[in-house]
Amino acid sequence: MESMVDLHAVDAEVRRIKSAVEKLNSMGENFPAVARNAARIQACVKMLELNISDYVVLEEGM
Amino acid sequence: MNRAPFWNPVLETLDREKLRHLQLKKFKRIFKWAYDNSRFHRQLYDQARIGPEDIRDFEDIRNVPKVEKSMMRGIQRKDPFPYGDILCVPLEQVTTFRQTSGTTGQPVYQADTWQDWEWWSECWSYILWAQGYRPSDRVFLPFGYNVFVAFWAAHYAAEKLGCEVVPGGVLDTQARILKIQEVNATALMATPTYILGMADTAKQKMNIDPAALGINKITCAGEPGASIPSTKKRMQEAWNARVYDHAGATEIGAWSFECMAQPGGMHVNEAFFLVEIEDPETGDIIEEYGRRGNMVITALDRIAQPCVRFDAKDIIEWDSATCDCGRTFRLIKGGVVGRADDITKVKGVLLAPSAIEDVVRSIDGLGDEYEVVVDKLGDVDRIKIKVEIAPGHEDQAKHIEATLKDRLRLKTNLGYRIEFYDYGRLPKYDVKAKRFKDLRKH
Repeated sequence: MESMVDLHAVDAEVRRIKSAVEKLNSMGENFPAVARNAARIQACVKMLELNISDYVVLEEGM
Repeated sequence: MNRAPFWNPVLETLDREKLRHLQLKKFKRIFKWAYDNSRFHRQLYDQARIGPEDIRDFEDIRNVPKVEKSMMRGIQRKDPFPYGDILCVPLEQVTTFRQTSGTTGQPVYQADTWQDWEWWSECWSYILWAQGYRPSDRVFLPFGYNVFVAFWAAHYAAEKLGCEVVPGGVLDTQARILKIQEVNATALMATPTYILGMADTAKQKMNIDPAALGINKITCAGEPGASIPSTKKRMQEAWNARVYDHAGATEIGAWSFECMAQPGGMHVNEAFFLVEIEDPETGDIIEEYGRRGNMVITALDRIAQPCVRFDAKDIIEWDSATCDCGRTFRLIKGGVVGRADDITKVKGVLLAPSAIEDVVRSIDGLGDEYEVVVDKLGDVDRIKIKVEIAPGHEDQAKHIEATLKDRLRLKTNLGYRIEFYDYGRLPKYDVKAKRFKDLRKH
């Protein structure tokens, strides 16, 4: 089935969020409310990677 | 969005060649992760003289040693406590403890990070979306929320989909039925045994017709019943709902599901799992259709306690059919057709308990409960079935007995003694039923 969305654009957004959340996490060393909520977001971002980014990388390598 | 047929329209319809490439790539990644981070896995693979650089294609994967549940039992209750050397992350990253039910021996502990837990609910999201769950659903979950994974991840997945979840944990069966009625629940999840038991309680003890409660879909787990045609039919008729099967396990994840097309089998989520079927005699991998074997499974993205080539003891076969739903994920015919642990020889004949269930539940005059007892008289095996006559069918006992014996003989090639019990006398089970008793082993 043809995808109805631009997967490369989605992947780019996922990477942008990943990078932002990693930064947030590192800023929360003495601020548990920041670090732990960022950690939860990281887990969600990983699901986006499994759903989108893994496929995009596969396509690029084929 | 609600009309989208797939949770992930890319991965669920990916052409087979790309899907295989994706699986290979992900297998390499999880194998390296386990090798690098778990002493248990590294020792296992070092002994077999295989490392991450040796995995180039699917043939190489077949050389990776399998992990058996007994191996996991052997390493747990040691540091990092209680999981032992299998753990791939620092203990402080573990956020969830679960354990197996211990049906086949000492329970196995399972660690998950928050990412793993997101992954669990992601796997379930594929399932629920494929079975028609949408944000408009109010989902009732009548299970004991405890150390067993059961429907925990289904709960989180239903929330992720946007459904409204009603946790029916510490309520008895009648209170659960009243709550379903009170809140107008539209969907339900439980074991087939409990789905039938709830319907029976509603009818016999509460004078409530479960078919009128408004439940339109039911997802089953824990037992093969929802893939056994006669049991599925009973559940669907009792509740006036579509009944869907799924397969999962604590050590694996939720790996397989029936879709709304109900193709007579279950899709394997091949974007998240690699399923291999192994010939039990030769150990060869079975690729062709219609040949049953033992499932060896890899969860491709689970990190705290990886599941790499796990010998699941489930018996499955590939289905040649493609599904009308449009998914390219392969089907396993008839779902999980048995457990290697359950299949036994009686009078020299291989017997799968699910075959007996299909016959018993196909006879209208019989109740839902039954028990099978195998024992020995001298050197000769004997097999007996205890059944209940359903209310209103008492005068048909002779006809039912003859029909039951005939159908059992045709289906299993064995002769049975039949014992009738008054309705309601046989044990009722709330979760996984234990209906097959082999007294020869004691």
